[in-house]
Amino acid sequence: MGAGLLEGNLATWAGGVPELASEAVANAQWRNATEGEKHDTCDRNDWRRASFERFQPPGGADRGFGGVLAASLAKQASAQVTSSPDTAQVQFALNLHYLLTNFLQVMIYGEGRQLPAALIRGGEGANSPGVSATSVKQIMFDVETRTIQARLNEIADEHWFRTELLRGILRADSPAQKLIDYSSTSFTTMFRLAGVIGQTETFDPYDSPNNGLLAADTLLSVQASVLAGMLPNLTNDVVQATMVTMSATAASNATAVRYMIQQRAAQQPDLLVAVDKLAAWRDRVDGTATAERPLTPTIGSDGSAVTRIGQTNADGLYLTRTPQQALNVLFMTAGAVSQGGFFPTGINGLIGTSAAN
Amino acid sequence: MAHQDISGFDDTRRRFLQMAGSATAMAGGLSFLSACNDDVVGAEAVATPTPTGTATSTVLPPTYTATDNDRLNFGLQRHYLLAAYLHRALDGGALSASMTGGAGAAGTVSGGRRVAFTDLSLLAMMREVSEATDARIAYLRRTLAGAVTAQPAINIAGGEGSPFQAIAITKRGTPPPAVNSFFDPYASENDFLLGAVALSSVVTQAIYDVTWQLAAALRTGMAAFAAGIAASDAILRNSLFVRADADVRVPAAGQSNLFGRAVTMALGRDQYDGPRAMESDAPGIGGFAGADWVYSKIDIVNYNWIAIRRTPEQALGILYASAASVSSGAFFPAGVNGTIRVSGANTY
Repeated sequence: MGAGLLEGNLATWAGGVPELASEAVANAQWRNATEGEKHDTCDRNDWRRASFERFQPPGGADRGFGGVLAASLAKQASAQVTSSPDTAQVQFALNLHYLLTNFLQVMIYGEGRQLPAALIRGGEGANSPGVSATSVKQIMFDVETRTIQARLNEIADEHWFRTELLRGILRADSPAQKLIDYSSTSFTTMFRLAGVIGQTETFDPYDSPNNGLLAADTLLSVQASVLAGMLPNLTNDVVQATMVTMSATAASNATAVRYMIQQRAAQQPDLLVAVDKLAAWRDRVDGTATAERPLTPTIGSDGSAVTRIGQTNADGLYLTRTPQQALNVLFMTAGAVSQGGFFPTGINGLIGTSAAN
Repeated sequence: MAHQDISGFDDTRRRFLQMAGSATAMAGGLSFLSACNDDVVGAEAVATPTPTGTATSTVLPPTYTATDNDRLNFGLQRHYLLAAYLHRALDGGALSASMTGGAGAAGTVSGGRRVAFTDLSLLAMMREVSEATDARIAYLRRTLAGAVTAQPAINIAGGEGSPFQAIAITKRGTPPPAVNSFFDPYASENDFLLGAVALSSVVTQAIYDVTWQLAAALRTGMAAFAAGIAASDAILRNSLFVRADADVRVPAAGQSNLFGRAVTMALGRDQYDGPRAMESDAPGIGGFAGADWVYSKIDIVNYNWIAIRRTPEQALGILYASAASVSSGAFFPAGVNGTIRVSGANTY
């Protein structure tokens, strides 16, 4: 590699034009979408599409990754097996990615970045449209919070592509996105239930980067816990290998957000209290007893502090939930219901009812 | 520009060519690439590096049939290394003797020293990672029960000629500047994080690769295990990213800032795991962008934007610091214990 690359400085790279600099500059350009210099949505989507198409070898899309998966599942499809155990699980993962991708993309980049019609419809045709997410708002980040913004950008982008990947696995079995309520009313309900705010107070997730982090944490931690528990229920080798690494990436995302909250807590310690109360509330409604790990650091016997950023247990294993337990959190109830909370009309797919806890 | 179909298997180069906005930029890029002998095996006319060494035929690793215990032991052997590094750096000690016994050749940890931590919040986070790593070792040992393998001889020395030095620089391309002629991960908090990220990435990616192959009875625990190490890895990478953001934007002549050093370290790993530039799509931990901004690369992902996996043979190539198939070297001077112990033929 050229000497310019070793400098690790984009200004230097841009002059030397190594291959990585070109990409880094492109990344930087569209990750810098501040209020004043928002970049054209279409440009960005073209870039995305280009990235996705890189997967397609000469000969067409059918031999791409999604095609491989489809081929491996073709036997089931031709036999009219409509309820492969994998399908139900991956459908649920897709529903979680709808929830997170819209939220993170619009929160970071602004209106227009929610998932488009082609990525939220049921199956691959146009006859089962999804319901576009309209209630997310953009959050303004200043230079002081640039490391937060950068990492949320990265997580938002990962979610976009993971949504595409999950749809590539499911193909015709992709469930359509239903109405998702991202309004402050929805989050306020959850934060009141958890006791983070009083019964007459409101919580606006779009008011500040700190509030956005709290909101993102509630959603990301649910997603990561579901994916971490999904492997035993999968049967297809390719799906298994894919979902293990998707789970790892989701756990990394959730951990990154808890890391950021830990950082921000240096100036606003009540953030830790809020996370702990939300975690305790999730434990109350999802039937997993005390599986959640608070964020507030512990003080060891020798007086040394130890953080609790990773949602891991005494064995170092990540928190897991069933999809039904996750729905308890997202529907905001301990009972067995099929709608509520963030999903006023429920979700599509083979799994749609919360557990009775 | 219409997307070009660049035949061949190198994703990095294809990506660059597709990203290049015009034919002019493309021509310029190709001439640059031809000149740099980078980690690329493509169909384009790239100057062939002069072969070094005297090997005349490629030695392939022996075939083996792994059992689930072999896979768990593979994970355990790597965790011994990560735990040894964290213990030595945090408290100057090592994993307790009660957690290192088992089948195979037992060894001790050599090299390394306590890092002088002054950032107490960073130290608190590193304690979390160390404790979680120990907890996972205990979990693996409990799961393996009578089949557990012993901690092998481990060398975690830094400095000239050390294992860390071997994976910290790339032998190809421009030699590193004199000021960075050796890598000592114990010299500072930042150096420690570079070393921790290096070891952790190899350990985590190898675990992902074996996890889904396990029998049903082990999957519940080990899937949560894989996500657990992903969480610990994320703490290390977030810490390095935040430190890099706080480092100098424009390094002094002949030096690199922390973003640049993270890139170098990633390329150092990539030289031992085969022709695919696994971390090189955008290596490192992120970078500065524009006058005031920064971008992150917390997750090492593939083109589906999910974490990459390294096969055991690729991971061993890095930990033995050898692109040729060998059964010991670098961090494991006497090799590792267990069935999965020979690195792959990763030369290119």
